[in-house]
Amino acid sequence: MENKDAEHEAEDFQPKGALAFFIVLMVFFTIVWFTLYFELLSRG
Amino acid sequence: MTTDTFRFTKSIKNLNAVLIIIPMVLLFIGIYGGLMQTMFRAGIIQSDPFVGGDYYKGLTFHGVLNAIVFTTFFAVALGNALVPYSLRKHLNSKIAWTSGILMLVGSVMAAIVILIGEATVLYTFYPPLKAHPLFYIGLTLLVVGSWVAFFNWVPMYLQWRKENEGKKTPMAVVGMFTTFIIWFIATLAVAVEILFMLLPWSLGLVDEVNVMLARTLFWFFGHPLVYFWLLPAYVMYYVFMPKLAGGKLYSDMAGRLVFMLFILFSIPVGTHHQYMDPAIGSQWKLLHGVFTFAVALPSLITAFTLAASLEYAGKKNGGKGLFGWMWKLPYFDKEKWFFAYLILGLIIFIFGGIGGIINASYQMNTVVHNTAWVPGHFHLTVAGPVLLAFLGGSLYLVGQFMHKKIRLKGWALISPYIYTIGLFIMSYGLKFGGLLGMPRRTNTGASYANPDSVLYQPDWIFYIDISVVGGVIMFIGIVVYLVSFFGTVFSKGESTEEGSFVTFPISEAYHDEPATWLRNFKPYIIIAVILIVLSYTPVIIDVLQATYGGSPPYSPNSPVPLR
Repeated sequence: MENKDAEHEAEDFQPKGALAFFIVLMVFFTIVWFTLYFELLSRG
Repeated sequence: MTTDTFRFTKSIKNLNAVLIIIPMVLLFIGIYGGLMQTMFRAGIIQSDPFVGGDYYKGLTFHGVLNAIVFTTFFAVALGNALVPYSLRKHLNSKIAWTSGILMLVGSVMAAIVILIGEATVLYTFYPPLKAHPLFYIGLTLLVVGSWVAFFNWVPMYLQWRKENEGKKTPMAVVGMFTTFIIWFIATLAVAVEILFMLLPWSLGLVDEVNVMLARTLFWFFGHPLVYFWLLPAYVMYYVFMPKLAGGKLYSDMAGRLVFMLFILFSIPVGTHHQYMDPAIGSQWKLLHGVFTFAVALPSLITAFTLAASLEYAGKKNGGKGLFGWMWKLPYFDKEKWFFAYLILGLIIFIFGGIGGIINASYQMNTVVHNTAWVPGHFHLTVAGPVLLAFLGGSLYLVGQFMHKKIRLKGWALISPYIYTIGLFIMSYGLKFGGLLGMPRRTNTGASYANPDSVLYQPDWIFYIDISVVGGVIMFIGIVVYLVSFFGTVFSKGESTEEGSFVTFPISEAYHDEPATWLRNFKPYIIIAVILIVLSYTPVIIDVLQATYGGSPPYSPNSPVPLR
């Protein structure tokens, strides 16, 4: 029964989780990039 | 025979097995060299205990065998497998064997001169470091062999298009052709560098070489080389991974767009490796930096598309909520051991990708330039997603082409996890040490890590030591893999009729868009050539105007010229 539900859900699939993952990824990239950018600035 | 299988000729099956097994031996020698690198840098050894020679000899065979030889062989073997399989056509075996023999002879020749200490020039073979002529000839044969392999696929493809008008080219073929279109264009520059500059200089026909021009031609090739490594892994991500996960590729069009974007932007980016070089105007370096950001775009599209494909699979497997699908993927399924190599590579690539964007950011490059950050970064790309995908692919291919069941699947499954743990530890040491100023391509064991040296840097020691720990764990991961690989190679094969067919896990598309504008390589190649001409003409003019005369040859062992 659960598998049938899962299959049904897969047919109407909207990649909301992938979108959320992508947003988290972009936030992570931004944080890392700016960490290095501030390191650059701190070196004068 | 089902539609998912194809019968290769015995000759091609044997060739593909050879193209996987011999480079695997060379890869192991190179990986051993990598382990020794960490020990040299920590001051544990001052001479290689087995191969002999110093840090730079080890660095050369580590880089050349792993990053150039193994990768080229695997890319050719994957193309020799996937192009005929997807088009349902037979390769011309004489041409395929000619290509394989050229590559083998060239690689063995280059490996021998490196191992006897006559080509200690690192994998970039920058002049004024000079190698024995056989090193350059060996590399040329390797590249020419790979061109022959590629041109062997072209008539098959043209014939298929004639017979299948209006049909979409299979994704695997699009990916492999993209890989080799980029490779062919990029290697033209390094062919000019080797044949007209380095080889005559090495043979003593000319006394001096233009170092800046050689470096510029190298990086015309050197950065697209990264995509030559990465794209076969992308082929496996798009074509195999969704099916291995139990789902479908979310968007067929996204995959095709990604490959076409790589054709456009892979090459006019090379001078971002030369931000600190003189002779090239900063405006042109900035232009290459902008194109480098453009080439990050297909990787970001890939991140979303593959995440969506895995989400589809995870939800089909019962995953709920925004992130629940992530826990319903076959990370530890022994029967789907190949999935672990692909997914771990993608996780590593999250960190490799942001490192690449930092390196390409013009001013920020000054923070990391020529520090240990750089090898810390590229081990998260070429020694991460690329190596893991190629190792998984090699084991899968060798099983298919030798008709053998994969042996010790538990070992095959656990190997990428061990390796990934080691890789993160080693890259942490290199990257954070690099931010403190620890240099790359330097035998720190004889200097900065040596308490008796006036150069001693106690605050780098933790990062150097942790790199050794990571390197040892990575090495153990590879040994575990090789037990499964050679266990499979030397096991008894299947002799059944069914066993003589080859099959690949080809994914279906969830959205199979028509995407007619992505069906022809020609316009993308033309635009790529225009971008290359526009971005490289001023660079070459700058280099020629700013340089005069040339440099005599040097070795890494002495500050005076060799003659």
